Amino acid sequence: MKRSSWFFISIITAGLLYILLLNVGLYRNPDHRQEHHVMVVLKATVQPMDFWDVVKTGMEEAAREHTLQLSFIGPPHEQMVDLQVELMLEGIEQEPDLIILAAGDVDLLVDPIARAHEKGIAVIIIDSGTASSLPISFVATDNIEAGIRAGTYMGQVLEQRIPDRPGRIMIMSHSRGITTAIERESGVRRALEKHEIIGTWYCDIDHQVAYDLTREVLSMYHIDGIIGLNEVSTLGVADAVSDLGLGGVIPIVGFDHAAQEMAYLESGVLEATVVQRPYNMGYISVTQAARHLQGKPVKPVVNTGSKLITRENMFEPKYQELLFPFEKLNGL
Amino acid sequence: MIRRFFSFFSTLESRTYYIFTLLILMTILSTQLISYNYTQRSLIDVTNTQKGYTMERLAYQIDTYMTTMEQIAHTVIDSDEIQQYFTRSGQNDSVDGDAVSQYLASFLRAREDITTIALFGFDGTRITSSSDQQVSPFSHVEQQQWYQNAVHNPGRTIISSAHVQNLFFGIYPWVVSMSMTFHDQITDEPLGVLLVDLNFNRIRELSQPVMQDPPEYIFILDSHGDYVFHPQQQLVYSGITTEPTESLMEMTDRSDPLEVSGKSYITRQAQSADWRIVCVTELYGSMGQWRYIQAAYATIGLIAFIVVGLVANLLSRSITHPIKELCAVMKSVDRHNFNITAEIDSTVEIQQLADEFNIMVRKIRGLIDQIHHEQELKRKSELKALQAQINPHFLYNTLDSIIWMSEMDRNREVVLMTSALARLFRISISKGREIITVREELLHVESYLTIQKMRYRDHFSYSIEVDESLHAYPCLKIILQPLVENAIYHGLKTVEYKGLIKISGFIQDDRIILQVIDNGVGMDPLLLERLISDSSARKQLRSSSGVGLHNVHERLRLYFGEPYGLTCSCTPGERTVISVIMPATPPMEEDL
Repeated sequence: MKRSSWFFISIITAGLLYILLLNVGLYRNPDHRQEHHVMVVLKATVQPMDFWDVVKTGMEEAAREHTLQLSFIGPPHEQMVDLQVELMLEGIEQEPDLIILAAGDVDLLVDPIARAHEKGIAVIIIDSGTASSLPISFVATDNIEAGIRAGTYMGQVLEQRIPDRPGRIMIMSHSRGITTAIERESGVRRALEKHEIIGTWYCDIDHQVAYDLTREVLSMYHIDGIIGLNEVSTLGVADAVSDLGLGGVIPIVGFDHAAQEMAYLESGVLEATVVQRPYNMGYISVTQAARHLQGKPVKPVVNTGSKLITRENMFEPKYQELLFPFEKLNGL
Repeated sequence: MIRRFFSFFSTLESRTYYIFTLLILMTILSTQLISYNYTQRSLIDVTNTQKGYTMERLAYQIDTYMTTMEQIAHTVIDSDEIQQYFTRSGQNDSVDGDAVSQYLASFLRAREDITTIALFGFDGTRITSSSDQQVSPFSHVEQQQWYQNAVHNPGRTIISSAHVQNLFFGIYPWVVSMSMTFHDQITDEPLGVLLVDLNFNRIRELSQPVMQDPPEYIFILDSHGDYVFHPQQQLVYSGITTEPTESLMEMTDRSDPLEVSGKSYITRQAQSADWRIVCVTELYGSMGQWRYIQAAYATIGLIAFIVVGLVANLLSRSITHPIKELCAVMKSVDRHNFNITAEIDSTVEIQQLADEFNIMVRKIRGLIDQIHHEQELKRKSELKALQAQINPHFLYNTLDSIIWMSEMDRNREVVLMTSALARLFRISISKGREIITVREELLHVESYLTIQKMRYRDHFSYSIEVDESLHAYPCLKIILQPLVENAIYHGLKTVEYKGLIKISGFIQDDRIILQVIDNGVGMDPLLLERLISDSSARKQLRSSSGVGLHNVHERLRLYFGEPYGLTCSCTPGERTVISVIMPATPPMEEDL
């Protein structure tokens, strides 16, 4: 052995030692040195939607834990799908490390997702799905299951009130194009096969439309129960029924947990509401994003679950925070 | 592979190097790991201690807060307005409900963190701080936890967990409810239940984590281990996040931090509300200081290792290099070079080794020289013995001739021969010297020739033709006589004609060349050559004369060295020339 090669061996061994020491440390401390940028493309940002506020809170909590940088973009209202497509394409140009998308339409966002994929940006879908197969993970409520919960409860209510005949049920949906609406409706229909569903009306996420349609339908048909498929539809229906003085007479089962819905639930206008876990949805989607960015495997589908809330369990401690989220503290 | 490894490991240098390096590597690694862990531990301890103080302050703040609220509650129930309103409300309308309401609302104005103050009389009287709002028909006050706890523990202050208050329809604030029964100050008869709702955000604000790095959060448990508040309430209730609440309930303020799945838990008790405040820290979160410490440790380790590698290398070399040098010196001894000494600048041990080696080599060299010297002496004495051998033989014959001539009364010849013999011997002895002059040598050979010529009755004649200038040069004694003897016995003794011996001499290229030429039968040149150079050849000849030639040759070699000696050229039947080649050293002083 020559002297020089001995020196060489020392250096190499020292290098290995260095790497070893660093790795021992790294193994215990996952690396978060550079803050990854995660872009969240929401369905709606301006319209006061309690649901999305809570999703954001969950996301921010997870981002704080994993030291990720979050930015939120999206159209002001949920109907503006074209604007969402445009904003997403603009967002891709900023080259974030990952995009979390709540799709406003099944088909229209397939192209932007493909564009992101070309750029090497992974996409995680939350809440409502698309026809694209490219996203690495889908974090959402199992909406068919949620629909079944709503339908089943409506069935139980109807069997108590009118045990001798099948009930006549109206469905107020929020959109023709959003998967949540489609899946919930199919779940509701599956659970209410014994009853007569006289039809589905679409309010296009407009409270006023839902209100007007409900009054119109109630004046035309004899209705035993109404199911609203999201927050806006449910509130539109409940307002109409309440204004007509039929609160508690025509049972309503809705979705989501706006403060007004809670009041209706307490006062008996609303029989029950199926709530998702928006906090968990936001938290889990960002956790999945962080895992992906650390090179760990992510689950392709995560069901964040749903709960049927009635007057009886609405103030139980374990549901309180779900139904009445903490307000945002100043300075946070 | 294994053999290669072992051969790689077989030198002292590599062994020292690797063992040193390995040992020091292990030392460095273990010290690094130990001190790294120690640093980590002590940092965590420091953090925990700091956290403990923060937590104590938080518990103290909550206690103070609750005590203040309790004082407010007591102020309310002991006030004249309330006492009058509830003791006389049944019979007397003199106390205005609105005024009492205003009185309660004044506390809300003073303290923003009080959401509601309400009093529920057992007689069904209700009064709240908001005069414009009716208590919700759906609120079922009597079934609420805070109400029942107050009724079952009269006189005690009950503090609820954080919950959603549904006292007023459509308004669902998060509050902590403080409730207690209130009594008639005079009769001590229980009158109803007081409710003070505290804005929960106040407590959440207090519970905000102080530090962002390492990430931490604070949650609060009630005396049953249920959550008063958790920043991730939904994750906790849906089982995504779990906290070791049972173990936490067993902890006291003095307990060591509980460490579960990479998180460190510290608890402090808030006595007033019987709450347990828990601070959770991620033990090995993305902490900048850890990264820094790691990098520092790794760098120190790297530098230490490089230095150690170099030092180990130098050390192993400093041990083995002198040994290698010594080896090289020893190898040259192997090649019969004894004229060396090992000059090695090294440690005492190696120096001693080198010194001993030097002594050994010196001794060997001395011994070898001694052997050389002894060998030379031995050879010289051998040659002298041989030289001496000739003489008695010749003397015997000569003396025989003298006796014979005396008997014949040839006195003149007897005188001639005897004087020649005397001269011969005088020169032969020459006071024991080996070197004489050419002149003396010629005199010696001439005496010999004179004797022989008389003995052989002029069977041959001779002539000496050596230049005068040569006479002063030194010459090895008795070198010509054996050649002449050889010429007579092998060349002339047997010929019928009259033989001739000629001695000539000259200088050629710093050499003195003396030639003995005869015209006898001559000898086989090869045999002659062998007679000169090979001492064993004389045995074949079975004669002492061969000894003479070889003896001369050997002596010349011995005295003057390699290129000198005898040469011969011979034409059989015509003549034989034997030449003596000697160095022409300057003439020396004649002291004879």
